[in-house]
Amino acid sequence: MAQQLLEVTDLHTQFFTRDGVVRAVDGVSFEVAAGETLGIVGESGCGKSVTALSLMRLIPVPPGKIVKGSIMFDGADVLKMDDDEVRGIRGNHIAMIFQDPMTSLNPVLTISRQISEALELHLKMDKSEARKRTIELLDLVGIPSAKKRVDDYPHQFSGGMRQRVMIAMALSCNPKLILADEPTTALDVTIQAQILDLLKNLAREFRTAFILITHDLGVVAGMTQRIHVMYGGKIVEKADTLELFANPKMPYTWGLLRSIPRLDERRKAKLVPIEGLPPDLIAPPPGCRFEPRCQYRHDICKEKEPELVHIPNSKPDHEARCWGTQEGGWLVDTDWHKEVGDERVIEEIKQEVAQLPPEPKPGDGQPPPSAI
Amino acid sequence: MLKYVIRRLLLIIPTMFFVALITFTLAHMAPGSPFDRNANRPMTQETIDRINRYYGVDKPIPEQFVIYMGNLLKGDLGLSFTKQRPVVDVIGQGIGTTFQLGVGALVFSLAFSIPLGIVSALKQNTIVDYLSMLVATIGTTIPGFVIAIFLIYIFGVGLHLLPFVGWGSWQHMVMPMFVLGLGAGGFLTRITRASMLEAIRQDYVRTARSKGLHERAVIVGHALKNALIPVATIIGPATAGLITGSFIIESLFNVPGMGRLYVISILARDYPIIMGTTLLYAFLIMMANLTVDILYGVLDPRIKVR
Amino acid sequence: MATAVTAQEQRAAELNVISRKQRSLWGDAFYRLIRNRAALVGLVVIGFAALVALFAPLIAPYDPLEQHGKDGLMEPIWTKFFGSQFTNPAYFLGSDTLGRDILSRLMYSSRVSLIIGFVPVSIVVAIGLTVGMLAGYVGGAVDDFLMRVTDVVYAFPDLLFVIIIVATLRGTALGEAYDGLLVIFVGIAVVNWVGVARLVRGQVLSVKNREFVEAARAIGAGPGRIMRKHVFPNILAPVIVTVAFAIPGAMLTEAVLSFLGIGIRPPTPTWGVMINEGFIVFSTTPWPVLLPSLCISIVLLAFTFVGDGLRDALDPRSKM
Repeated sequence: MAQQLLEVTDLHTQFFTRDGVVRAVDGVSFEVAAGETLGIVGESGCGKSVTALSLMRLIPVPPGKIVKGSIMFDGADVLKMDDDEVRGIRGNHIAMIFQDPMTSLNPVLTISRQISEALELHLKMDKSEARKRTIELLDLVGIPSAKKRVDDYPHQFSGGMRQRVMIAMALSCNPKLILADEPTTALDVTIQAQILDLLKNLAREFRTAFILITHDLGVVAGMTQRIHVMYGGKIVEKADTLELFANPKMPYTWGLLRSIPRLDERRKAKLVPIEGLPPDLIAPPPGCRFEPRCQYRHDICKEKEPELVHIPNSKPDHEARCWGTQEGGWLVDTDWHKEVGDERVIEEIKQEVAQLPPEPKPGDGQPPPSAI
Repeated sequence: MLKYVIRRLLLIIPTMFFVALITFTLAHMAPGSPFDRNANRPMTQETIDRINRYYGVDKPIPEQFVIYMGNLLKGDLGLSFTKQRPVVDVIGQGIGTTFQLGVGALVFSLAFSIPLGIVSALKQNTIVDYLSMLVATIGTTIPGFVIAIFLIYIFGVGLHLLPFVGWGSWQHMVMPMFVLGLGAGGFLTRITRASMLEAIRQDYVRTARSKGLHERAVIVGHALKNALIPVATIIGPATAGLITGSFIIESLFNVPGMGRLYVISILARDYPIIMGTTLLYAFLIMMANLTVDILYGVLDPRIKVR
Repeated sequence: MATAVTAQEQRAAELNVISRKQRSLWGDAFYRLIRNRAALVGLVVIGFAALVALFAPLIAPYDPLEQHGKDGLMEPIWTKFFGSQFTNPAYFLGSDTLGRDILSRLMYSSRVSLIIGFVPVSIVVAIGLTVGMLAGYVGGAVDDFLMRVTDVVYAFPDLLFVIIIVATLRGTALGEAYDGLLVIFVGIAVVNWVGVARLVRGQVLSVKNREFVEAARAIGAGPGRIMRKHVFPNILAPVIVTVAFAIPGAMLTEAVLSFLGIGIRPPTPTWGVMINEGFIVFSTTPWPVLLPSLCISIVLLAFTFVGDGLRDALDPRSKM
């Protein structure tokens, strides 16, 4: 296999607080190839943002600390670099797009200044070159009248525009890898779509690798080649995107998929949330971290933590961290995706259908009753 | 922006009017006239009446007020009762000294407090932080005259290093400026520190770091610019504090400035001086507040000064 | 069926893996305050001063006004070990010019100082809260009035205003009352209520448009009830902090006034008065100045620490 752009091995990032040591990232390993878009999905607090910040060593050193692991970027270990080298990478080879463009841009500096900064620093441009390039970048990300607006301040832009500015800032030095941490969470739904489209086009045009971090499965569906699901500081499933949606092998992933409301569901169908709360990262349980909330658990799940291994009946690089679906597990070769809840819904649907007035035969000229 | 400034300047006029009205009313609420209880120069009632007539103090108070305001518009602040000289002269004499004292104290406090506040914030919870916060707390809490007394005791009486009466040489200036500056300085340090602490926790600082900027560039170019904005706005209260501080400090160190003059005049019921200095102080404070508002509009691009 | 229910309950119990003890907002703030050591020390000091003030008549060795002419300017008894000739075991902390026992005077001073700390501030808060809430919630004439008054009062340096009020009213009957205590109350109250009213108004304005107020209005609650039950509890926090700092402010004002000679009338002792008197004999002996200075400094510092602690404890954003 060609050398990957990014190889993270056994990363452990912890925060030392008064209440104890929070094991935010507890043994995470993954790779990203050049030009690839990887999605990292999980709920709040699962460690996905901390992972991204760790990659750029942006973790605030007290109280945080990367205690173990290696991050090989382009063949060099980021964790072993000195401060100057790391700064040389930030904004230059790896760039980050943050979640809230409102607070992530400096309110008292013009966007021209904020974008030119990196250009002047890394590409050694002088002021006029940097300014020209800034305007080009703003055009590229779709800011209208870029030349006129380049000296404006962040508060003079709308939320979507601000996020485009952040994207322009991230792209400015042509990085090999861009980390996008919830890039659309703070935006309206319609703007979300625009921004995601923009990112997709940029990824394709500049062959930049992306790590897209989000809690929203809808966002990663159309954007990524592969997806990693994180829970409780660990990766619990790795698969190609389509494979993950079609054939989830970890109950948590399955729970995520099921909790999305669907347009074609019956109106009476209940939303099926995942009950319970995420685990305490200060004192994580000895067994599987998802166990308290899992419908398929057995005793072993409480005692021992499963490893992330290849799962039978799936594509070759599909891995999951679950005793039930692993080789020899009780969920292998079963229809575990359909269970009690589903049967209830199916029963309800059957009863409702029985009570409906008879459908008009085709050709009656009446539209059939809508299913919504 | 210009319209705003003009509007504010115009608003000063009615405010000054009310200031004058209130001060005048209060001053004249004291019973008797300023001239009768004078044990040093016992006078007959006839003499007293003549003096009262001369200074126009025998007229009914509203009439006195109108006369005063009329004169004020002509630039005439009247005659000092105790010094028999035009108020303008008397104030003019004292103002230079007080100005020196005030500016010196302000410069001293700015030069020390702002860097101290910044360093405290950057090195939060270290010895440096605790010490500077201790000093700042002492400066703001312990009354100026108490600190002054301690200093006088150590440097003046004990070590005979610095004079503590009068004005003239730089040695005379050291302790008064220091004490006066300490109060404002303590306040400044706390504000700067709090503001800086908040600024370095902002998301945009993380963004700046993520671009690979050197830490110094992040602190100075990004955090500091934001942090100093609220600090600029305390110039208003700081000026007021310096003015009130000057009363105490000048009285204590016997500095011949407006502050000491003011206190004496109040006790002596020298109305023209009281009125004149009060109006001057009020004007200064309003100008300081206006400056702060303008400064805020200039420094923070988010503020549209309407 | 029965087993399913208990299984469900068991499940629910298991799911609440992370649960912390419930604490009310004020209870939480209280615990955070107590955890702050400086604030705790401050509270102890204030408590001590309050006790001294309360029991002064019982524990003071002398009447504070009683003069012993021949024993003037005695020094505290420990100075004997440093070679002082002027000690008298009858006066533990020494005596002032007129032979009055300093220790007793210090104790009685705490009474006046604490009263000056609390009483005018209570008045200020009462008036300020009322006016501020009306101005903020009802607006209209009250609001305009408040804004005009604020402009004028803010144009004065606050100490100056107090000085004028106190100095000019001193000669009147009001000034004589309670040795000038009433005049000082009036002075402090008149100047400071505006600040509180402004603060309250600002808070009310920001709370007024929050959704829970709208919800209360929607179910038919009248302005009085809304102000009492919804607005008021939510604006309390900054008001409490302001009060915590206003108390030492008032004490300081009295000390300054007394030092300048226009405060409490002698012979009533306050720390400010004692400093004033002691300053005159400063070069002879520093103790009559240093001791009350120390007392007032400690008490003021205590209040400041408590005020800071309250501010941190009540701030929902501060991590504690």
